[in-house]
Amino acid sequence: MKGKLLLVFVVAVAGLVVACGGGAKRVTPTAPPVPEVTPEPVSPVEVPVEPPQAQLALMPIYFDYDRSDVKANQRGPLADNAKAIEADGGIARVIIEGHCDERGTNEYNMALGQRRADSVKNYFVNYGIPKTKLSTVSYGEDRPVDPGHTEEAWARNRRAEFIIQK
Amino acid sequence: MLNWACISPLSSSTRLPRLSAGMILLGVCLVMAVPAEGQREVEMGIRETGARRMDIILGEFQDERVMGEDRPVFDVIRQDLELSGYFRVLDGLELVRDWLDSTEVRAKWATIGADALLEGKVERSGKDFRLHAYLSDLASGRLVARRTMEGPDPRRIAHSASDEVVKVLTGERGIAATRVAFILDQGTRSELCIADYDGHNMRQLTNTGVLKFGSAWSPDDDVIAFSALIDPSPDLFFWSFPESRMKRITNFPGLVAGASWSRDGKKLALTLTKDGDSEIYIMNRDGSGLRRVTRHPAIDCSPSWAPSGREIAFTSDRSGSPQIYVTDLDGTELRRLTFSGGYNESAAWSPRGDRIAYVAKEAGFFDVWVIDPMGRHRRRITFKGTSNEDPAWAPDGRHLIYVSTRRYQKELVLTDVGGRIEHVLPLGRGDKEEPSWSP
Repeated sequence: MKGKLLLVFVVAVAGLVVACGGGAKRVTPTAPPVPEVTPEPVSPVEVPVEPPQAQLALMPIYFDYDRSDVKANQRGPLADNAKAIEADGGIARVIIEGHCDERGTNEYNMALGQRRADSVKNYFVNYGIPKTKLSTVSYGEDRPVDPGHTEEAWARNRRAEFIIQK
Repeated sequence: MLNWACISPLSSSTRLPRLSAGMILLGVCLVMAVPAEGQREVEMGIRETGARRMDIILGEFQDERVMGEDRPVFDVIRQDLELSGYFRVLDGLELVRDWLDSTEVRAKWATIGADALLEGKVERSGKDFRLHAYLSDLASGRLVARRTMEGPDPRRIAHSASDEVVKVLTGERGIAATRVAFILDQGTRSELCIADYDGHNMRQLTNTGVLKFGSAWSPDDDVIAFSALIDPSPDLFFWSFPESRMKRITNFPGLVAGASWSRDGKKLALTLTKDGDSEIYIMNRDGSGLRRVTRHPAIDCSPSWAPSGREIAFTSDRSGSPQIYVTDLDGTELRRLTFSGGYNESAAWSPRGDRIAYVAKEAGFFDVWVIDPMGRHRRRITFKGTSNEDPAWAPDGRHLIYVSTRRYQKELVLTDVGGRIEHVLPLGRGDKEEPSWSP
């Protein structure tokens, strides 16, 4: 029953994301290809809570405070992301989102988030992924994954995220 | 709506008439044109009381009788005068409730050291309200000005009266009738909103849900510029008051942020990343005539136009950390203003030209500071909250609104350049961000 519920949840979430994103879809690494099933009505309380960041096909890339260069321990995940994009012929576009932690001013963080996204994009281009498949956008400090106000939360929020368009 | 009438100063030996008699006298003294020349010395007399705040007594307004509330006009004027930074307000009713309508009232109030007395009367005029206001200089015993205001909104009437008091007694323009724009961020929705400068009469302008940032109220008072993230990347939009809708101005790839108006309202400075990295550009109001100002691979952002129109303050991390610089419009003459600390951002050039407000991080806290355009006289002006940022100047160049994080919610706070005033705008739930002031 729980497995079925989870499947229904994944279908529902995927449907929601498609509906909201106009074709953009966050690909989930753990989810199997979404089968055609008729979703049963589920009350919201029964839906198992899945952290959204765990469903990304591409690993988020994390940054140091006020930095936009890819640090040494993020080069591995970034290379894996590049390989995954290259291997999947069905990808039409990868949107790279740049994000910041809540500290500092909104406007500087918009510029910093843009720079983080551009920094990742440059890596992909150097890797050999066509520029035309890549676009960037900054959300500054506006879309934290962790709403906390600790060093740990800030570290999780200083990131680049990926949206795959098929 | 505004109806100015100035009373010729009485000779210094003349005693002021009784309050009631005075009103009758003023009633027949109909609209006179421009302020009389003789009024100037009275103003000066009051202004020469020095840098200290003037004590002004607020008398009876009789507004609760008309409006069925607790002294709405009185309360608004009281707060306006206190927020102006020029006055300490004494409640005339509480001081001398029994003395009303006595010839000795003014003399006694003068003996407690008060400088001025504002009295008034609110009445209904059809659907509108009418306020007659009378301003006296207690040192000379003269009636300085009389004004009548009429309109549907008692708050706006009161704001106009407050601004006239400031103008008559200080010669400066008040800010009580101004408004502020800001972005209201409620989770995934963010919308452009406006409110009176004191936080009342909040109104949401946009209703698109998409991420919006920056707000810049045009000097012509007809549009508010802001950025909105409409796929695939943000662009500059105007909220047009005449048309009551959003209008797209730019269509650039990459980031479009930080719009700042030139004082004449003809040009905008902004941050674009369309040429590969974040740089400052200027363009005409309609989006034409784009010109690049900065040329550096570091982050250049957050432009703020000097009132002279010849220079722009901005942020650059070309030194390794964000610092405030000033450049000419060609990007050739460049000077660095801030050297202290590793985070100086969000420059806002005062409309008087004499100061630049900005955000500095010291000991882990972000606060608003001011500095002069040559990088001297650096001074901190915010002290509370976990983070104070995004300063925006009032048109008087004395007041600022900034964003203060308090209990994990971002609030707009009104202050003055002396840091003596602190008024949290009552704007309800959600983060209030990136304010700008109406002209």
